Amino acid sequence: MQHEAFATPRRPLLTAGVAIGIGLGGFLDGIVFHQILQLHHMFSARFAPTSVPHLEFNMLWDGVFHLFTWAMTAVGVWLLFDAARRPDVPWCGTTLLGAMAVGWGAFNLVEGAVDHHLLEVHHVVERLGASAWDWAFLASGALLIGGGIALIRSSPASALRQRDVAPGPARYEMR
Amino acid sequence: MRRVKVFTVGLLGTFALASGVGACPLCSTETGAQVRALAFGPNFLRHLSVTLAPVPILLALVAGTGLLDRSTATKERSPDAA
Repeated sequence: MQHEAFATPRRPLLTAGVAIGIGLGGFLDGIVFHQILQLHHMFSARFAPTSVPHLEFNMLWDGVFHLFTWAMTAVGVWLLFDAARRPDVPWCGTTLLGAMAVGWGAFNLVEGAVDHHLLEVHHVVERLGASAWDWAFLASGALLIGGGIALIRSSPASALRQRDVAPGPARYEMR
Repeated sequence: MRRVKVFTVGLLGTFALASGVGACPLCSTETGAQVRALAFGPNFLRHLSVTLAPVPILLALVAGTGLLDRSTATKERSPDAA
C-alpha cells in the first residue's frame, strides 16, 4: 500500500461553502430588507415605491435578484455534493461554516459597494438616502469575511492530512 | 358547513376585488401596461445589467476561492513514500 501525505485538499469544500454563502446571504438581504422590512428595493433610489407601477417595477427586479441568489445556492449545493463524493476532501463543518461566512461577507461587500455606493440604485435605508447604514452594511461584510477566514484557519481540517490514498473511504489523522 | 360557505364567499370576493388592481406585468389593465412600460421599456437591458452588476465579481470570487487555502498549492511527500 502506498502511503503519501498530501496537504488537505479543502478547495472543493471552500468553493462550495463560498457559493452557498453568497446565495444565502443574498436571500437574507432580499427577504429581510426587501420583503419583510421593505427598507429598500432594487431600484428604490431611482423609482420610489410610492405608486403601484413603481412598486411592481421594483418587485420585478427584486425577483431577478432573487433568481441570481437561487442559482448561486443551487451551484453551491451541486459543488458541495461533488466535494462530498471525493474521498480526499476532508468533510469538516467548521471549514464549510467559515467558507459560508466568507461568501456571505463577500456578498455584502460587493453588493454594498456596487449597488449602494457606485451605482446608487438603492440604499440600505432608502428614506435616509446615503447614510451610515450603507457603511455598516460594508463593515458587516468585512467582519463576516474576517470571521470566516479565522474559522477556516482554526478548523480541524487545517491540522488533518490524508494518510491512506488507497481506494475506499479516506482516513485522516492529526499532524 | 356555514363557515365553509362564508369563507368561500369571502375568498372569492377578495379575488374579485384584487383583480381590479391588476398590476402584474402580464395583466391586461392600465396599471399592468404601466408596469410593462417601465419594466420592459427601452431601459430594460440597462436595468438588467445594473441588477446583475455584482454577479461577475462574485462568480470570480467563487472561482478564485482556492487561493484562500494556500496549503492546497503544496504537495508534500512523506518520508516513506517511494
